[in-house]
Amino acid sequence: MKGQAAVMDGLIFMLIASGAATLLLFVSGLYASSTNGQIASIYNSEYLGNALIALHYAKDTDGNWFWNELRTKLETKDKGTIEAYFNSAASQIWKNITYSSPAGDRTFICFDGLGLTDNCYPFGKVSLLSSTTVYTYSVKITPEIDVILKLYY
Amino acid sequence: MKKGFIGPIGDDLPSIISIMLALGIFFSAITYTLDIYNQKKVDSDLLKGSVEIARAIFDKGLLTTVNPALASYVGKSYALNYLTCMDESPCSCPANSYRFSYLVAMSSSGNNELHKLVICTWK
Repeated sequence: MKGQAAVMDGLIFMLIASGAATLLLFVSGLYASSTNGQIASIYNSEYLGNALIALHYAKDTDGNWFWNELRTKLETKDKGTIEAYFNSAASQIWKNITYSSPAGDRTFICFDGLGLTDNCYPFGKVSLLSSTTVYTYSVKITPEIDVILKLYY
Repeated sequence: MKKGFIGPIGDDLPSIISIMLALGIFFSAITYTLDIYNQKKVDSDLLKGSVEIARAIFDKGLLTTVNPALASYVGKSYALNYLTCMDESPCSCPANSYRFSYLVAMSSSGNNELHKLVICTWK
């Protein structure tokens, strides 16, 4: 009987130790996933913030301040005018944004306050994405219009 | 000699095996958890260092030149190595380094252009 009791003690101890080990693994898993999320969030926000500051100083290929020209185009509230600007004088700027962006082609510049249904350039592409994680950073370009940089993952 | 008695250790052998197994599982879990913690701490330091280096370099918003020396105190405080490179220029970052890219505005002869700046950090 003594031998059986000893085995039972050992098994109970093993059960407790396994429970503690499982708890530790669970906690470490939570810590690992939350840290990964925080790292991604910090970097993406930092990228977006820096990008908006850089855009503030950027000039288009016509030598005009990008921010001023964009404001003028946005005030027309015409999608065609905005798109034409990004396809001409601001094309190099847009190329540099997507080239440097960690999200690459899944980078969008959106305009809130224009009353457009599809308000993100390149137009007509956001709805095609099935992204679950989106990082955004915005700045007011006029009292009514916000420019928002978005990264879709 | 008592019947069935196989010695002080031999008698407790079944429980010793289970206890050793339990301790093995427990300490393996602790080691694994500590490994994850240490790795995440390194990752976190590399990222924080990269972000701080970027802040030190982009302090003025518009750059005339990229001066990595501006960020040397950040590298020292995080005890990490770093390297900056622009656009497509060869970037000899070590294989185990973290690469983070940023968009920067640079002024050259009155013309402001946007560039991709890559900051590599490693321990």
